[in-house]
Amino acid sequence: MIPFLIVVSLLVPSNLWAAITPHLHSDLSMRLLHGFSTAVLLPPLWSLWQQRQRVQKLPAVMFASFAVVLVVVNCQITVKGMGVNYGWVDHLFLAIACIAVLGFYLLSEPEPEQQQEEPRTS
Amino acid sequence: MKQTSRWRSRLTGSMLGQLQLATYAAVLLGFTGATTTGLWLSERNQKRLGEAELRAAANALTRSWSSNGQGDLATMQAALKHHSSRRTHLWLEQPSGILITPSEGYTPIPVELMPAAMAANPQRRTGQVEVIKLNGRNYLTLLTRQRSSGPWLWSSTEITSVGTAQSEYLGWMIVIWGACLGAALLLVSLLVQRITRPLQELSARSAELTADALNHAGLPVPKGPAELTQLTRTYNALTQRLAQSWSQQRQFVSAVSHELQTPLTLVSGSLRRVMRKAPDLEPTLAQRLRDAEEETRGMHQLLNDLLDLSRSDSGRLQVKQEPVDLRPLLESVVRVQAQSLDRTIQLALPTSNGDASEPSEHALGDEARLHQVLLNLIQNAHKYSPPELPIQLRLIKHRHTFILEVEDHGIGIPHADQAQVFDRFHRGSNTAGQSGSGIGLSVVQLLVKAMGGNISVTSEPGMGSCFRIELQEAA
Repeated sequence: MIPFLIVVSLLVPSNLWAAITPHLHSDLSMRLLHGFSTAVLLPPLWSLWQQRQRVQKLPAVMFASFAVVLVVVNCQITVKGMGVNYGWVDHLFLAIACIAVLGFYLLSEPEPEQQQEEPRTS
Repeated sequence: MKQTSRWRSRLTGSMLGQLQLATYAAVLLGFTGATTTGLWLSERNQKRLGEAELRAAANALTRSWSSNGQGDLATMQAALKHHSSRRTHLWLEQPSGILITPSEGYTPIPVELMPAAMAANPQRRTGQVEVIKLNGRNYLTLLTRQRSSGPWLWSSTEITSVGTAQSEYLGWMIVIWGACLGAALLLVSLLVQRITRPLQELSARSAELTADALNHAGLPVPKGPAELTQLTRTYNALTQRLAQSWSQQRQFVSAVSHELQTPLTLVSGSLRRVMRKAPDLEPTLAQRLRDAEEETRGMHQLLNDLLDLSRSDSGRLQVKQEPVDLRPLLESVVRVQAQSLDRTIQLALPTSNGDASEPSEHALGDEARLHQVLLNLIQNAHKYSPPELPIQLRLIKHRHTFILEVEDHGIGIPHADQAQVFDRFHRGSNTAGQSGSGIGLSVVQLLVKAMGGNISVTSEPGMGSCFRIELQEAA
């Protein structure tokens, strides 16, 4: 999990650089960046679905819809390649989504552990 | 779920993890901010500089035309060539769509540049700047127009070198960031270890703190953060106060036990004398006197136990380690206790042939103390088992040790209590209906250990308990 979080955190500056310097990256690197950024959105979506009974509804719905739209759009971009209009906006949204993923994992309440019955000592 | 807890506790469950996380976040944030700002400024400057260069070339051209007139095609091509350079290209697009390029002899305009530049600005918005990527090279293009009905002047300059410089900058930033992150994490780990070492030591010392070790529980004051120094000083002061309080309590118990022993002996003796000298007492009165005498005996036992504990705490408990013949001792204990408690006590001894060469049953110990231990265990068994069920006392020889077992078929000890059964003042959760102080078994353990032996218990709630004493064989 920690390596996953490190990868997600590194995708934040990468997407910001890509948003600022659209002419700096090649088609392959751009596809890889979109592909990776899309892939890291899938585990939190799955976790969100598994924890749907416990999470706060409004932020969960907002994050989930944002992530689903980004997954769909970026899958298309990954397949199509360069030449998308306003690609920098997409990179900006991907950076925001990566920050949201980090927040989701680090700030969300841990799942409650089953309480063990303590032996009576008196 | 366990895996989730593991990474979370590793990151946020310890001071080291939290500081490492904070350091990583701070370095990443700084790095992201620095690189993003650097790239953005570089990108902006690159565009501004390129745009300024293109505008200067376009303005110079239009100025020369406004003063001299555009002239024929050759003149225009010559003017375009004159204001072009190795990096900057100028060409005209007539309203009719005809393109006029600089005359030959200078750096030619790349074939795909003109259509790509014009395709990037299909609306022909004057003053619009575009970045075009062609065959791995980057170009900045600008469209200007002197008059609304005049030709469009396209200008373009190559900015590939700026992009390369940006890539190099980014590469260096990544290397520097990686090194800074590694150094910062290492530094944080070392600092946290330095801070937490005294805390861990404090925690370990607190965990193994016992009443006996209170006098030596003080920790050396670390040379480090003031908070840690203060915490250690507070801990040392606390253990000193506890040691003082514990010593006073011990002295109090010892003094009270001593003071109570004399009057109790008097009372006990008087009761026995009255019972002996007045045989014609009413049965109810005689029974009351017997009860009173039994209670004084119990109190005497309690005071002796308290005194033993007090002596042990102050290191004054004297227990001998000499050969004790177990067979007569056990026979005597069983005989006296069976009569005194009025219940069946079964004694099982190793079979003896009466052969003089047979090894004797001598264990290392203190006869009086061993007698006390056995009495305590038998009385315990008597108290917690139905009177119709026998108490079993066994002697077993195992290699170089003797094992003494006292077994009853009483209420047993709950599994949760078995680990603390020899702890001072601890009583089982199923003994609420019985009187007791919870020090008898702790004294038993104390004495057995002082004799160099060991004691353990196996018990099943509702089925009974078996106390097992191991003593070394006397050489």
